[in-house]
Amino acid sequence: MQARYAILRAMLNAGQGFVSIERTGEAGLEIRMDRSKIRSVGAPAVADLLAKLQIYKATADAENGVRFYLEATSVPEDWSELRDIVIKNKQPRKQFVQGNTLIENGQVVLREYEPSAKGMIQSFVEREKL
Amino acid sequence: MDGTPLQLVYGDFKAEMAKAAENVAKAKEYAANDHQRKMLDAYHESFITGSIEAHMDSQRHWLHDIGPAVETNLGFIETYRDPHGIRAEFEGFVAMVNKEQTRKFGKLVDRAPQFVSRLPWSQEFERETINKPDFTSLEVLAFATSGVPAGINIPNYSNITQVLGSKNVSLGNVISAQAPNEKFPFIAPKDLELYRKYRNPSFEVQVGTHELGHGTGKLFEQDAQGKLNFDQEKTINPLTNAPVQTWYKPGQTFNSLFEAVSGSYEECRAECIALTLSHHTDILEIFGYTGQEAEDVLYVMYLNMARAGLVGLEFYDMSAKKVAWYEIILKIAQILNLWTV
Repeated sequence: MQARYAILRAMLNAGQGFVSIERTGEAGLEIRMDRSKIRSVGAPAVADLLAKLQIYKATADAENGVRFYLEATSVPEDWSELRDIVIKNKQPRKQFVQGNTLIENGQVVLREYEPSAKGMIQSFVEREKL
Repeated sequence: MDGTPLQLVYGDFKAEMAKAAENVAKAKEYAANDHQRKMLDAYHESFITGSIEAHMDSQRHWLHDIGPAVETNLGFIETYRDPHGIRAEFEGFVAMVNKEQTRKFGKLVDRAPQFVSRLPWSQEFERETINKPDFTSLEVLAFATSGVPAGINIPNYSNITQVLGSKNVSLGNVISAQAPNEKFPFIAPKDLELYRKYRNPSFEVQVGTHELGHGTGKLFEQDAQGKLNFDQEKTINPLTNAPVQTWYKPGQTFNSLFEAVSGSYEECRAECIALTLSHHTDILEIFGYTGQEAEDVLYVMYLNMARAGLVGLEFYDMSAKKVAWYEIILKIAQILNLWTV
């Protein structure tokens, strides 16, 4: 999370119309990226961040390296609103519904379940029985 | 303890561990080779007696079992859920190797020296021998634990990985798992269709180049005899334009010096490498993408990274941020790590 935010900041700070985050409506945000500028603006901005991370790491420079990383991942006060919108748009956590295997007539059979709460429960019930 | 007698009682999860041990013994009949048989014996010993040493042995045998068609791992492995980072949670997985996907990662690894030379540092800052990761792509049949990961690098026993290396695993069907009607906030409507179409392919490329990235970069070190592993007079630090002044002394590691941020810092480094390498068309071609499709995969990768950075804000603790002397804030931040994830 922290790491990807640092990369987002680097891409935003590169300016030159590469990427921006726009407010839409009451509680919406949209990422606007100019794909024609990925190689000319986006990638070099990320490479710049990368080079710094690399050099501090290579030279065991924890003092500057940690400071640099904390700065790169710090969230400014005026992003408070953005954060509120992000939280408003939070998606429900994903759950994996896993299958079961059983032996029928000497053959292994894979049984899968529907991706829903019902399917999830059924998979657990049948797993206990097996 | 101050005279009070303390009684240690063993046997947590006795019933469950006995069941696991019983089934591990039965599995031996179906083992593909001797490494797997020895691994199962070691699991059995560990689950019956509680021995960590036996579990370590199981992992040694597991590492020796190179390129199995069915990949598995069992035991108390990841410590993410323990606030002290010591106690591990039980997990077990069974997966089938995706040979085609694994071949793609293999091609990437084979041409690693060529790709790594494109990273934004001079040759002196790169390893003499690129650490070629052992990299497999798996399709999970079952993964029993609280949180199913998208990729793993195990074992976690550093005493073993220093000697035998580790296995890097990408879980293909976990990466591509999609909930019905899944929404992707913050992607502009005009990009949604493309995003849905190329989200998984682009993440695949990202995972491959990311893992490659972890194996790159030279650490400047001084050994116990005082010898440096680099030319101190001639190696220039591009940030200072002066010769490199600092390096790792005996006993120091990246984790020991960078402490609380080291994990996240290294992930950031690897993600940056993924983005910096993936725009090269020859790398996209290894994954099977050329022409317009390659450009679309690249666009979605960058979009996805921007989105992930935004979504991650949920985990930042805004209230704890205070203005103070920088050294103090640094220490506090390091201890508290303002980011909870």
